[in-house]
Amino acid sequence: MPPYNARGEENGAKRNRAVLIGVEHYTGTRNDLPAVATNLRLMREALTDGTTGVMRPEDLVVVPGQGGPSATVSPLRVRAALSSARDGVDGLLVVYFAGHGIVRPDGSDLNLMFTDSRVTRDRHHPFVDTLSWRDDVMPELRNSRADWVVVILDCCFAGNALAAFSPAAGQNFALLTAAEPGVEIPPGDPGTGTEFTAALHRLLTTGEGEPVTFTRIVTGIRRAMAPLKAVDGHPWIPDERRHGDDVVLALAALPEPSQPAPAPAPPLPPSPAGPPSTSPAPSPSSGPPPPADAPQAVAATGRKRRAASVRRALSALVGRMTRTTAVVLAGVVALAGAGAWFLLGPTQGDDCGSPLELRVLTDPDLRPTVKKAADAYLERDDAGCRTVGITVYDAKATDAVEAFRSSSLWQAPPAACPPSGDCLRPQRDVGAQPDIWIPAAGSAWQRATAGGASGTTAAATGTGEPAADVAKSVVDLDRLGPVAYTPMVLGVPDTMRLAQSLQTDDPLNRIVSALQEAQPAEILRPDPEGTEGALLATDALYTASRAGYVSTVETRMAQALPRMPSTARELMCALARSSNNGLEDKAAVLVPEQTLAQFNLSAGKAGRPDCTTEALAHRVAHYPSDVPMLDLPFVRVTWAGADRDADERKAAVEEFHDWLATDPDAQKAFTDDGFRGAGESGPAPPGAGSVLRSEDNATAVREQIPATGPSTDVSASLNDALNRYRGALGPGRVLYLLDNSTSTADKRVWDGTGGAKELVARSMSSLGAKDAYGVWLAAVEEGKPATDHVPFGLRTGDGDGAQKAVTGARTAAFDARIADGLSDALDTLRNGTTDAEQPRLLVLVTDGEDLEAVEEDERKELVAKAAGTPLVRIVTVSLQSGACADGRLGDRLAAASGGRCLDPAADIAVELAAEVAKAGTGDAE
Amino acid sequence: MTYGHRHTGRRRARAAVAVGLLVFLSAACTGGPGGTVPSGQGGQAAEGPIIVASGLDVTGSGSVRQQLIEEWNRRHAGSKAEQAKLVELPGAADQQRSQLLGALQSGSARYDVVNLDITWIPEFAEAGLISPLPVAETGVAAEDERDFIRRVHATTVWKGRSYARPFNTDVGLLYYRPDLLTAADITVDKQPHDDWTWDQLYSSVKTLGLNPVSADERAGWTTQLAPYEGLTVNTVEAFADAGVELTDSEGKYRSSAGKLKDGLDKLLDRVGQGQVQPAATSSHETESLTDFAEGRAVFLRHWPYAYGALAGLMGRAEQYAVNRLPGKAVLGGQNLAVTSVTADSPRAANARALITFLTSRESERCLLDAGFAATRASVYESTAKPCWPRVAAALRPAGDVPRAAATGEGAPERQTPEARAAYIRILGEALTEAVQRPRTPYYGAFTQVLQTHVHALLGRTRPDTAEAAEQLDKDLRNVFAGR
Repeated sequence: MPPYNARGEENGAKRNRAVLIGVEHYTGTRNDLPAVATNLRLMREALTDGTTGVMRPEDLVVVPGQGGPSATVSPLRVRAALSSARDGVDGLLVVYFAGHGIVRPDGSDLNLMFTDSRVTRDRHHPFVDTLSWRDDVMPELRNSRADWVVVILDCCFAGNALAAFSPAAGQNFALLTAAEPGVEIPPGDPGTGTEFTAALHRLLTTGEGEPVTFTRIVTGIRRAMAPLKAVDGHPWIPDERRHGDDVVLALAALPEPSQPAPAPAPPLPPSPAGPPSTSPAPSPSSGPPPPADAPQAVAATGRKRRAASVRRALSALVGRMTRTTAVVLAGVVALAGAGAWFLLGPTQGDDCGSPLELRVLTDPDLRPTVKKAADAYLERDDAGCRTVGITVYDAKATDAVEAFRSSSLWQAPPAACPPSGDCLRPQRDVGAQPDIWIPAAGSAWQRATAGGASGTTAAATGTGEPAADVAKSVVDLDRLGPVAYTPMVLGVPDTMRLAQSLQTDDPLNRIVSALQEAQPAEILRPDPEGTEGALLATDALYTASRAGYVSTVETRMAQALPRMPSTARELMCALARSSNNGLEDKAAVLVPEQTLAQFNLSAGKAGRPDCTTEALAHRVAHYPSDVPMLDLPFVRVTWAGADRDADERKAAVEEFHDWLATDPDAQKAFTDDGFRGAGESGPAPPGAGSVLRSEDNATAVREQIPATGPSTDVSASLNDALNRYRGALGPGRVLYLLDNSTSTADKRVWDGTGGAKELVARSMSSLGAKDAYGVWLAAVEEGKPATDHVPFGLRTGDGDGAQKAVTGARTAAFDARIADGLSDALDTLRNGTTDAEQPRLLVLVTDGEDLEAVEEDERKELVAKAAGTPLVRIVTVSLQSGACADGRLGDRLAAASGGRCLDPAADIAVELAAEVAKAGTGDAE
Repeated sequence: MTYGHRHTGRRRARAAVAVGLLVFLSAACTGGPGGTVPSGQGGQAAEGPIIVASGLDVTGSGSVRQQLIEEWNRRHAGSKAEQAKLVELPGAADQQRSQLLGALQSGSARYDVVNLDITWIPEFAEAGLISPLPVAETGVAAEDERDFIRRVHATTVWKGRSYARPFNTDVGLLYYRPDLLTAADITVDKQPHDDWTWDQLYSSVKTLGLNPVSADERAGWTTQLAPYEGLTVNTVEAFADAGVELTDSEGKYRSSAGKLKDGLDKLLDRVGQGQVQPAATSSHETESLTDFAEGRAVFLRHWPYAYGALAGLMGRAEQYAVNRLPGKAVLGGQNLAVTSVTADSPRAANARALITFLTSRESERCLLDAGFAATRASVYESTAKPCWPRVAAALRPAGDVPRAAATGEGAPERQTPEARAAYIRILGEALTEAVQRPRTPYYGAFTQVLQTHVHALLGRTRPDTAEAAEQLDKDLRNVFAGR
């Protein structure tokens, strides 16, 4: 059978490709390889030569494409090039690699190294940001659709690839390696390329009268390399493996009479001139390697002996030293070496380095699961050193988006905040600057990046946040891919009537209308500011709604659940609590499918949430066709100026992502919690152990995910939904009763950050021109009414004045008349308007002392009055620990009025602002 | 000659390994990296401000840290380079640690001075993220240094070098109900005193006839045994009493299954014989404080700030008293360190001067007055220097009348000057004998492992401490080796 010829007539319609990978630049301690640039040029010339080349110029994919010496080559890019070639080539595929190669101590697992590759002391996963020939490259190429695959490796230990040469049955595949297994090769000359590639170039371009086949190349190159020596004087013998007959790599050249016959290949490399030597080596004391392009005259044979003796001495040293020192030595050698050899010492020593800390920000709905997965990641290898530490935390989805949009303030908070304390300080209020962000859905990423990189926060979200004017984006947010999936569903109790046909393929509004037509039903959902899932559901809920609908929906929800649950889990827990039983029976919930599936589990089943009870009905998932699926995108966050460990951090982030997305243990953490795993091209079908496949969920969820909402950019629509949500409940009536007795100052809770005045002033930012509000001071002489410090009423254009008045308030040397103040405030809020639906909020801020002093009969009266109508929610802020305990006055007022009691165990500033935002129309949040 | 040349780079690299190794080993012999403190003055002008990162102050201290920084700024009003700015971090300790580590490793934010929990010093020092501070051998500066309470100052040291100055400290104390003890005929001389023991506490509990089965019944004592740092603290206190030292001063594991069993038994004794409040295994600081304040425990292990908080919660002063914790008490608190990047920059001197100011005798007095435990011995003495006047004024707002003359409201009748002086004496003494939690760069992993094991043990009805100790020993060996 004649050798395969990609340029033969029979293959005219085939697509050929050569992927040429050259890694010249290394960021770690590994030497750069300046000869690689020349290698790429030589290979390009040889393969696309007008006469002999088997490729057309457009068939070449060169990595890096452009950029010269500083161009970086990442394994991701190489993988992408290989994947694309795997699917896109049906003729000849040539893959060429020049760069550093590295193997494990036993010689197995050749890894190709790229610009940011590094070696760790992790015994099981020592190589980071490399591609394993065995596990990455070979499996990719094994699935190639090409007629012929030819791989050429010009790197140290290239021969070690031969042991893992495993083409598919019947596949035509040839592998040519620069040397035999275990052999390292010199880095080559920048001007002429490496010895191996230079010889290959000559063979390919001087084929005389017949085509240059793979077989001819093998013979020719072995002959060409025979006079040379590899590192340590080892014979330099290129090696090969082949599956299939033969393949043409260069066409026949026209004989040129003037040129001498090239075969056998010339023993001397073409340049530069100088006497050949077989034993070069520098003195061990000659310091760091000179730039490779600085010619050096090195010839002395004695030097080689000295180098060899240094190496022997080192080996002896390793043999004699303690384990600890051996590991240190191995580390030094591996890092300082030219990258070709790697000596992994015993990892049982006790000198583990400092782990790299990864900060992982996630959506509140995801935190428990991501935390579990991260813990499993840290435990995945309990024998090796911990190379990373991971801290998983959450923040309200909207806060996270806002903070990313104003990321310069996340990096460095504003120099000064207004006295009201009303400014964005994400380090304090959102959390650590993340290295990884796992929002619930890609829409959060869209919102964070919408409208370009710089902070146009105020315009984009309509919040008018003053600090945002100066904020700009100093982050790059790279999506590395989903780690799991779960669709948003409407969970409807079994007992409610709803046509089966509405389980799939209908928009949310149609399902909701049908449900509400059939029986009284409440639609409940967590805080749309809190989780991305709730916001996406809210957006669908508001779609195509008639005027006033949003207000009706939100008011009903606020009445059903006085405190908006911050996560889907909290919503379900709230329903499971007995006091909500009446509501529970008629509540359809908008939650992720995984939450619904968990709460459907019967008692005793693993994965059943702690808070649930038998009172909670079994619910069936209805899949709205207009709510996008939660696709848990893994986003790498890169901060401007964070360049101290950029390469290492990037590698650690990518490694964690790869593990999350592919490792069975990682995926188990998600599927155990009812998520759907990350498959090749979307959600994987639930496996046998999945919560979704439990018999409790047999009738509740679909095995195949029905059609979900669009994955297009929905950020504008979501911002609009948020604004409508924020406006839905107002305008409101809000009265603050501020305890200004001297004890607040004595206890140091009056002034300063987190002090009573700042808390009040800050929360007032959530009130707008349409809201009626005021501030009373409670410390007055006995028998007097509370001081009308900011008179109750509309404050058109005077919001700042009211805040300033609060920050200027003084303490008074009287007891705070809490009981009278509360009673009068309730009257004020209830009178003067006939709109019973208008939100009313009474905020009591106290150090707790005078609250405790209220007598029991007064308490009873107050609690009874608080429960009256129109509804006034009472939020008590007690700046002293323990004052909100069960049965204390703050707790009783909250229970009677559907309000809350906040003490230092809660994040008072954030929670109070959220409570006021619910009643007001201003800058919510 | 090309051949020879082509080998050169490779060979030289190999040789560089050998040279690098020699340099490395000799550096190790002379004390290792960080052997010198860079002056950081390199002729460049320092640029301000000095950025101080610290956790959100959740103690209700009235922002005393902010006030101290403002005092420093007023004292350096003319110098832009010396102005300091406080950057607040989240209140939760694990997030503070994560941000400080991540930011200092990567450079994602600039910090010059960091306020570190004392248990993090080895981790940050070992990772080279903070820089050792120069040690004064003689003179005023040396004397000033010696004023720090010895055991508190020891929390700044890692492998023989001091990396920080102690800012505020903390120590376990015993709160109790003298009224209930007296009512059970336990006379004052048999109530807690300086040398009180756990056996005496058990005996009092027995006399009181307490045997709580549910969380709403009165218990002997309560503490923080939920699976978080509080559980680690309580466990380390019991371990220290049983003579169990988990690590040496350089983080090497020093215990064994046998010793750990003694420690675990000691902790279980406290739970059992002390008739601990059943809710304690899910209690943090706030819950345990509330249980004590509401009469569901006669004794309470808590931190100094509870002294002020209880005054508000319990009404009458005679209802509670405080003394040293029987046995060993664990140290808490925070230390101020200069980041390594800043130590190499022109801002180094200013950053160190700021730390010196923030931990001065006057500033420490301000911290004590604001409810923190101060780190200097002199602050607890009657001759202590007063707090900076403007800070004191800011902490006591304008219009506030002096305490002794106050009318209407009654802080003075709750904490008499005598009672406060006695409390300060007790606190000072407790600090001088307090013990540290293990010193290790792997503290985060250690505390997780300990909490998991111990909390599981507390949940069992008939725990096998020998088996638990074996498992714990195995896991701690790994953890302290960074695995």
